[in-house]
Amino acid sequence: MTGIASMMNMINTINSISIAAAPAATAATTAPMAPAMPANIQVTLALAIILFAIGLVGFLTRRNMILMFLSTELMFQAAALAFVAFGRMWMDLSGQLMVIFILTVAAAEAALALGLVVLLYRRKETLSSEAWAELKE
Amino acid sequence: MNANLFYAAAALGAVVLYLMMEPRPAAFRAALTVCGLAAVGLIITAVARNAPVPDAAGTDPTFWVHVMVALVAVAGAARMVTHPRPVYAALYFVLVILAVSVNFLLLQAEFMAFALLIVYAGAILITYLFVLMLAQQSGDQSTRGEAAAWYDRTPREPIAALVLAFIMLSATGDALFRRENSVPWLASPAVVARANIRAWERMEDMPQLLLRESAAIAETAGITDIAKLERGADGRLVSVDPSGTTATITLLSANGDRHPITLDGTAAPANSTALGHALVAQFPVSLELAGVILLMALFGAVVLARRQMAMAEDERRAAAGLPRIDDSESLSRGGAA
Amino acid sequence: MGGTKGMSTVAIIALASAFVTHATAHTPTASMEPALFTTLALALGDGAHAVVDGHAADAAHAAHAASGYADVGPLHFVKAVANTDFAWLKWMLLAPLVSVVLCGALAMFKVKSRLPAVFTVAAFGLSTAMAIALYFQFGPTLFETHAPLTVPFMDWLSLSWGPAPFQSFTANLGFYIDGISMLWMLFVTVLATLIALYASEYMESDLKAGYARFFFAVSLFVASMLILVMSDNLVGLYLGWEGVGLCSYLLIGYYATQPGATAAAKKAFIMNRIGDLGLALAIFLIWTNYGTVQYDSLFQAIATTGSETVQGGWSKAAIPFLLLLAVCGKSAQGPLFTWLPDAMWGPTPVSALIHAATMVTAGIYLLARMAPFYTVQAIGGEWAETALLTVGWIGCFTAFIGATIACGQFDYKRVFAYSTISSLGYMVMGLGVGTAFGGVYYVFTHAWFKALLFLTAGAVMHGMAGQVDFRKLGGLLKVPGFRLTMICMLLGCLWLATAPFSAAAESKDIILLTALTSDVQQVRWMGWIGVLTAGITAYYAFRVWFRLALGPVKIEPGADQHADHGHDDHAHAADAHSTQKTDAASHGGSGFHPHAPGLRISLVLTLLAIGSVLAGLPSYLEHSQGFNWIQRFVENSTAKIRAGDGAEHALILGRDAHSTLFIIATSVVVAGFLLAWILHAKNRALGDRMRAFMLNTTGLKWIPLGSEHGWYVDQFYNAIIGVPAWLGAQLLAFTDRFVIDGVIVAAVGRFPGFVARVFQPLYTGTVQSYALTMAGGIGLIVAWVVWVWLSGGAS
Repeated sequence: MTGIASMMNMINTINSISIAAAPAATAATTAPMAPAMPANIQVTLALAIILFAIGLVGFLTRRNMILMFLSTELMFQAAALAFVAFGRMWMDLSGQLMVIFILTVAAAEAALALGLVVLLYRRKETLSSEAWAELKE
Repeated sequence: MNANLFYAAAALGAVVLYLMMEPRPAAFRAALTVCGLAAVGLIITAVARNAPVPDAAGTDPTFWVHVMVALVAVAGAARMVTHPRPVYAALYFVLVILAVSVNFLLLQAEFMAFALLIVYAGAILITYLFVLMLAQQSGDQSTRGEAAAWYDRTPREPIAALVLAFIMLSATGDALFRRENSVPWLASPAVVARANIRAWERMEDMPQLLLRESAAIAETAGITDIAKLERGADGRLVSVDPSGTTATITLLSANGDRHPITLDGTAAPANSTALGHALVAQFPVSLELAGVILLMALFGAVVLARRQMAMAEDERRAAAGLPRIDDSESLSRGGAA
Repeated sequence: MGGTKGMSTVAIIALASAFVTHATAHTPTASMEPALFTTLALALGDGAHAVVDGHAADAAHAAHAASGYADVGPLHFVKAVANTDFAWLKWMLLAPLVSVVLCGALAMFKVKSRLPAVFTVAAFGLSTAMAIALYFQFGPTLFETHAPLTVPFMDWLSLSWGPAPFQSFTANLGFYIDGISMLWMLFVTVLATLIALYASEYMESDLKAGYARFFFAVSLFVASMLILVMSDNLVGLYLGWEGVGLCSYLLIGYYATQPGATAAAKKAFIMNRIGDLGLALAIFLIWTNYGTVQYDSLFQAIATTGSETVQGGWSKAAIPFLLLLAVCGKSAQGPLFTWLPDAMWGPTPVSALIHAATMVTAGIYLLARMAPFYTVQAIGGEWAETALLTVGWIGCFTAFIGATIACGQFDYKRVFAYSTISSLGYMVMGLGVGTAFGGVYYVFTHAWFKALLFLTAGAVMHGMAGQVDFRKLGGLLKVPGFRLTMICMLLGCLWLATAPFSAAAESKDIILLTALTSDVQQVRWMGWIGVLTAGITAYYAFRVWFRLALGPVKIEPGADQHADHGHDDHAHAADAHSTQKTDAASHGGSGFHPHAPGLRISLVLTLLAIGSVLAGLPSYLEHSQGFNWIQRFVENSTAKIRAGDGAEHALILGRDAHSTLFIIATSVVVAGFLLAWILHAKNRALGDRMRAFMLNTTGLKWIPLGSEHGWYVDQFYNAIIGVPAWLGAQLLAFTDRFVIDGVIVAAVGRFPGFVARVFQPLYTGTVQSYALTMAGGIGLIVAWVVWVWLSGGAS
């Protein structure tokens, strides 16, 4: 827990640097939207594509239906990260708004998908997606 | 960006991920962890060195926080897709969520960061865990007496998936970072000014907030009898400085005196306030659609739940030795499998 | 019978003396064989030709007369007068329609009662009363001013797309009352009322089944016919024209469970459709050429363009021929006559209705109404005469063919059916040879006696359990209860045979007189064939009557007596009576008791007999007072241009036309009568022997066989239309099955299947393999976009 607390302290420090300009700063007044940090955005985007790739791998390699869906959630996270990063880059709130919609879709998907998974599981007593191969003729 | 370094790091990551898919001895695992973190670190380094302000990585203290958060997220994700026990995988996903939300915080998306935590880690993931435990509990033949089900232990076509992921990662990374000159990672002054002006305009719609903020400033200057805000000649409350940095509003005292007040970014609304405003002002239809989607999901969940109950009833009959009510053929086939 | 015999003897003597005189005086070289009927008539034709040529010394005049056959001089039509005082006329049309609605409702709710007959007879009676009232209110005005009456009824079609002529189209439902429409209204309503009354008894066996349906169709039939004759435009006429076609279909196919009835109904409908096509095209062309389909303005347009150079070319010249096609379909003429005999599948009152009063006379009405189109003034010289001659020849040919077929039939209803075809041929011929008066007059007289004949035939059939073969019946005159029927039938046969001084003879003679005194040689030929046909008609008419009425009593009941052996009674055979059937079944064949007609049938027969006699009254009046009731109608209509009855002082065979024709026609009729008397009354064995002889002689076999089978016209049509159509259908079916289904569809359908089979191993059925394929595709696309496209092909 101390780690997290220190991390939060650090974040606060960072924010005080970038956003909440000190009232004492007389010459440079703070604008409503602080400029984006170039390297941070790149790091975030890199993280996004890596997470997306890992999510893809998870979706393709996991045989457990629940984990397949979980991998899609991972890809959602990647997309959300990219949205927020680009929104930050252009200093626009639309990116964050998109994340709200992603959350909506993810929640709906989780509700339905898990219901379906449970139904399927009741039928065959297994979570393996390969138990459902009736589409093959 | 050094493309070859990026590709090599991505390939190393892919190999590490492949090796993680099978259970390994502890020493091997440690080596793998080092290699994986190194791969991710290499990628991030390669990307970050490519910034338009070359020394941003050195001067910005948040950079290292970012890197750490990214390493945690990638490690959690890798473990999530490789862990043989589904519950652990789900918990690793919670770790990813945490890392991502920290990343959101770093990107000044505070509301989204906590919304993600609440909705994902608090709700969705718990649902997943419930379902997982439900499935584990109800006596899967293949898991009894073993650590995990065969289908959780054995990856499916890992090489093809990893090659594909490598291609995707390389291609998207190349597209994002290699053509550095065409992507202005740093917002131009015009963009910043426009964003600031938009932020002030957003405040037009929030006169109470404006009054509160400006009154607080006025109070520090000894003006206490503030009656209301005065509109300018153009009918607006806020007259924005062309650079967008500051804005001036005029306060009216009860006795009719005017007090022009200059506001700076500290008076701007918080992230959540701005986001709420943008949501209803910019995307009302999408908001409604999101509501419809959730409603439909609710209906769908109810319908599926009712089907579940029917199935349960059926199973009770089967357990009691009675013939099943419906779908006997499919059920018996499922039972045999 | 004594009277008839005496009269015929006198006629024979007169005939012989006339021939002898004629032969010695004018054609000494012609060989006269009075005994041989056929040769005689042909020889007379030659003689007449010679005489007229010789008599008309002025060759130029003859040439002019010949070319002026279709030239009637300047056309002039009195403009119609609109008069809304006669707005009550709409009820004449609405009364049957109300009956249609009521009967339809009763049929829909399956009400089993006599109400439909009550409604129908009441509606028809109301219409009749109004037709008579119209005659007395408007008739005098018409005959004085010659101006037709138009009564607006309701708006229907009224389009306009510009102010100029030919830029508007008006066809409102309105009434156009002139001589012929008034005449048609009169006899259609009167006869329909009588027939409906007759049917109310006749159809009682169907009380539980189709009673309401029957009267529904009959009411609609009469309503359609009234629309047809009353409408003031061609579109309204077409509406009624289609309406009667539809109702004939419904009524002929009334016994819908019998394949024969439905086939006959379809046949009638299709044949009528062919004619309807002609009428529709004619209406289109009329509008194209004159810009109107309203009678009044149409005939005014014809009259104003009349004497000028005729414009329009083929589109005008085609109108009379298309109209003739329509007439052929509706009036069972020429190539399209074969539907009428099969129409006997309907209940007998329907036959009477179709053959006597309504449907078939519609064609004659159309010809009379459109008579101006058969003139040089309307369509031009080169085609008018051809059109008129075509009309004449078709009528003449049909009359002759119908009569010859009637001689070979053993079903007395079919005999009467063919006699209708023959009579209609006479009417069409009358219009073709240039006497609308004669044609219309014959329509009028024929309507009465043919209705009488059919209803008597129906009464016999009704009483004899559906027996229609007259060889199995005989001596009915002596059977109690059938005496009145037989006497009425005798009257009908006399009238059909155009016995001297009968109404039919008076009207038919006008046609023959006009034909025989014509300047045109072809028309005179038609006249002589008409004379010959009259003889044949006398023969077959009395062949039926002698067989049915005279001789020993012989009753072989029809098949209907077995109807209750497992058959649904109303569906089994045409004219059954349930009580009769139970009688017959309980007593067996030997104990059959004929079922005598009841009060209503007898009443109707008596009324029709009286009407048939009185139908000749116009001519009797003419003889005494020089004034013909029918001619007055025709002269006050659009048919007036042909209202005459031939040259007043023309000669036939060099003698006074009227008396000569009377002698010739009488003698021919008497000859036919005597032949029938010998072969079918006096010495039936001789008749049977003669038939057997002809059947056994190779050279003569075709006569009785062909006659019995209607000269194989149906078979011929089947061969030239039915068989090719069948073959075409087989070909198409083969193509469909083996080319389209077999090659095209199967190939197209199996190709994807084949491709699928090739790639089948890729489809494992698991979701992830599909996801891998999909993601792989996306990955390849992304890779291409990034490394090839975005980097300009050089990475």
